[in-house]
Amino acid sequence: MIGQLILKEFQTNSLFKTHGIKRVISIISSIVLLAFFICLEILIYSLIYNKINVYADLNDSFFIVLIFAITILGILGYVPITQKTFFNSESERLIYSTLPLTSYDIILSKGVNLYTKLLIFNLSTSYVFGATYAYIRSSNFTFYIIFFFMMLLLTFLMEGVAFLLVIPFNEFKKLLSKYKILSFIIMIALLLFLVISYSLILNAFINLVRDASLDNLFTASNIEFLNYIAKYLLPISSMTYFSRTLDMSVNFLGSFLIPLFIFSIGTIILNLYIKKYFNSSLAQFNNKKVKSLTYKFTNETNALIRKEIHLALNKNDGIFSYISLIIAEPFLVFSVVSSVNLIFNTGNLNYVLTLFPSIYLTLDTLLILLFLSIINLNSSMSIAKEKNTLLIMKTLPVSYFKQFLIKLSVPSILSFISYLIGLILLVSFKEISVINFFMMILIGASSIISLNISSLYTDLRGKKENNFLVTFIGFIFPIITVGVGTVTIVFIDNEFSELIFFSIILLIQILYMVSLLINIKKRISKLFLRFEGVNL
Amino acid sequence: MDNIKSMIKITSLNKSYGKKQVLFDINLDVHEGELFGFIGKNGVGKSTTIECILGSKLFESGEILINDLDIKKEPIKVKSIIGYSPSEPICYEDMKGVEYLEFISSIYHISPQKFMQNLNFLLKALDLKEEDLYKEIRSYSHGMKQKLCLIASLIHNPRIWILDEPTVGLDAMSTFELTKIMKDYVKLGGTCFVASHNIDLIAKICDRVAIIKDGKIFNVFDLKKEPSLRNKISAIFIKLYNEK
Repeated sequence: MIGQLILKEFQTNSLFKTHGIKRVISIISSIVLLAFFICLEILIYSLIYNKINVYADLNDSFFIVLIFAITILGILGYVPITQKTFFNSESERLIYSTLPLTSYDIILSKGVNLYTKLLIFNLSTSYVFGATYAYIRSSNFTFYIIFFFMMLLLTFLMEGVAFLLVIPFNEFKKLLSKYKILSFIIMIALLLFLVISYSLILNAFINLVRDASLDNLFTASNIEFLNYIAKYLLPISSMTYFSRTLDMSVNFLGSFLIPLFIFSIGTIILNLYIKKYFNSSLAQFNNKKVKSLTYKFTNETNALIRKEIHLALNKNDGIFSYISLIIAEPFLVFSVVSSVNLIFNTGNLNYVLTLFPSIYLTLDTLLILLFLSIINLNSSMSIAKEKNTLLIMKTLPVSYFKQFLIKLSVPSILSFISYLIGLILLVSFKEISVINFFMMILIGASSIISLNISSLYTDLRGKKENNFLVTFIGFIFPIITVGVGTVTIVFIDNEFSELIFFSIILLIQILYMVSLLINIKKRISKLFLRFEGVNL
Repeated sequence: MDNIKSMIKITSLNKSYGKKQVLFDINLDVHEGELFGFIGKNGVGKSTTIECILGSKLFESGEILINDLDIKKEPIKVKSIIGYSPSEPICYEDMKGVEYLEFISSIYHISPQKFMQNLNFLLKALDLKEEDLYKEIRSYSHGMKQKLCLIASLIHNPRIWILDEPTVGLDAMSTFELTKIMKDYVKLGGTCFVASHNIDLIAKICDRVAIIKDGKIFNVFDLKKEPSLRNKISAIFIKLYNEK
């Protein structure tokens, strides 16, 4: 039984979902991506190592802090995954609660899968840094072996902490699902945190690109502080010292006992929680005060718009994906465009600007359009979100084209508002010109509509997984339009270059949008009727 | 016979899923004010026939007239006079019950007075509590969702009421109440088309019954004219399905 449960967990892993050639391609592409990622890690770490090598004793402390940070990030990243694994499926709860399984069986079956994923994460991050660290320092080969075993223990520790944190996380999620306003506030706070973190990382990256010195960062007091805290970052510090010195006496407790102790405590506490979870009743109502029935009369269009907003804000995936991206978009676009402008304005890359003066225009426009694509392609979720309720859409006495337009309008309006804020930020800080601003409003609006039509169309054709049209309109089309605009202004270089550049892009975008609309109007009924959503 | 109005008239309906044909030359005539039963085993084409009637599925050939309107030519007009309750309760689960009913009523342009009148009657008849409507639909039990879908299908006073396996998930009392509503509905002049594999229920309440097997209509029995057939439908059904 346990073996079958473990197997089931592995079968739900994305790598194992596909079959035949698709599985081979999936595995090979994952390996290639992982190899690329590892190479990048080695390169970055070697660069950093060499850069900070000038500061005495900093490399050891930096290594410990780095592994500790990765461990913390890994745990934080794995708490939602653990929550999803244990508590996300109501049908699984129903099935498991009727099977002769103990809560430890459930933890074991899911825990093995989680442990494997976490171990892969550790081996592809912390171990790679460890091996690079050992190689640069010409450490003994025993370091590589012992550090590998340390990764096994570290994974136990991380899983144990994730088991402990998943309980408050699950309760918190339940609370958020009850109070949408609270979840919205939390989401904004989280986004702000992410955007600020992103800007800091981007700034650090720009400093590296501009070849700035790290003296400001590594002052004497900072180095002292780093060396001080590195000693106390258990169990990473003891694991590192043990791998290096094999000194059992001092580091045994930190390296072995702490991970296993935390894992045991985590498992025991999660077991108690899971026991309660799988035995609780399925329908739990909150006893709200009963109001006398009032009917909010509205027209057909408003009713459909309200429904779309409901779908767009639909809890877990809605608030934490599409809407959050929409909110983050202006800040992200501003950060990236201003950073790119800064890179080309100062430092080593300044000469590019003298060779190709229009590079600003090309890069800024392309970046803005690509950001728009990434954010808006997610809005195509709206048809997929209908799932079996698509049958309701099909039976409503409202034309399919009208329903399609309303489905199109809600994400398009939301995206446009977000896009406009981004542009206002850029023009206010003089990152783009006024002509650029006004032309980009028109280009962006038509692009948003085209993107949303394409993704809805692809959704209706049921080809979401093989969506060449979406990839084309989202990524290839902006490159082509901006490319055509750029090539044109290379040949027509006068005071109207900027206007010509944008006019060409706008013309192509509008032509494409109109052709999409005409095409969809013709085919909408057939597309709706053919689209099954689910097998009813 | 001439004064009997046809509310659902299906002529030579053929429907395939890819290369597999699932409906073969279906002919049906459902009259105004009758309770029409449609029985067959699972997977023989009941739901597909219904979805063709509703205009939510394409079909290769044939004609479906609803109140003399062609479903292919005037789908909006047809849909506005139909109320449909699917075999599995389907509704927007993130909405509250009341929000879903408001949504449906707004689409069908119901006046607030009519809405309240219908809702109060249906809540009482189906034993659904008013406070349940203020809870998210996802927290409902299967039976409660089924009741909500039944209410949504009737809230706009449709002229034709189509029910696909309406008793699945309902308790005995609710099933009893539902049959009563169906009878009252046709008494008031509505036309009810009910597909089910609950032969006994269909035989008990319907005026006429069609049996479908392997995508073909086997026969249509007039139980109003020949009440003795009510007790024989089960046997006929079993005999038909035992034939190879």
